Amino acid sequence: MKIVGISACPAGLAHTPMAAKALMQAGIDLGYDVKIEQQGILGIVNRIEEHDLVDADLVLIASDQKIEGMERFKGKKVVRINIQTCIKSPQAVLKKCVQLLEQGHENTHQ
Amino acid sequence: MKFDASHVFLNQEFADKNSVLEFVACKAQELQIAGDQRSVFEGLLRREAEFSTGMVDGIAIPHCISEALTHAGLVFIRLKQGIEWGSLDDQRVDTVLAMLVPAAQAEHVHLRMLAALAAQLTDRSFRQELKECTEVNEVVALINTQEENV
Repeated sequence: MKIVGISACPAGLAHTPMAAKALMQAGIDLGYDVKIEQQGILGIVNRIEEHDLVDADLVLIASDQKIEGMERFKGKKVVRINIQTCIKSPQAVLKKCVQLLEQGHENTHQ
Repeated sequence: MKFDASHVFLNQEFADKNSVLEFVACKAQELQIAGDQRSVFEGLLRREAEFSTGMVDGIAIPHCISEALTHAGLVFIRLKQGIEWGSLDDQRVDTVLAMLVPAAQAEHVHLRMLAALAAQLTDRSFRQELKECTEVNEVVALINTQEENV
């Protein structure tokens, strides 16, 4: 299972890196390949590149905000979950993503 | 980034979140990392209005990016009794790490330190260590050690 994603929050200072770390750690704990790009005050950190996307099963947007570069994900399955939930329960978020993927309930990014 | 013993306040008593934020703004001015404490207070409030900065295990990370700030800084407050903060796990907050950042973003290295500290807070054992600090110098040592690891 490979999940790529983006975290972004209002100030872009604290919750953005927090969510990214929490989700990537949860990925290690659950045995999923997870890479989260941060869009915050430091600009783009840990950018999701084209080669990251080739075999990605799902795109997770950990934010309620406008995300830059969504066109990268055209044709990919995208799930949006608010950033607080990703910080509070990162493992549950990843499990939910996998569940949605299996049930085919996610949206395909147009 | 400015963080030493003068930025650590233990055994504090506050009635509510707003009083803590007011204290942070006041200290920011006293510590000479802010020119106008009113703007800092308003910035902290504005950020809280987006969604609460209460995290888990009684820790909150209020923060503010403001033109009133002249240096990046951290203010650490430990409360005698936890207060309501709208935390992710609904726990009352007794440990506050306030992050203050100048709007003029010349100090990228300090932003990286604060971002790394925030990320580090997702680690349960780090949160526990932080909560177990009872002396000012322990808090300073723990946080400054994190910064060296950036």
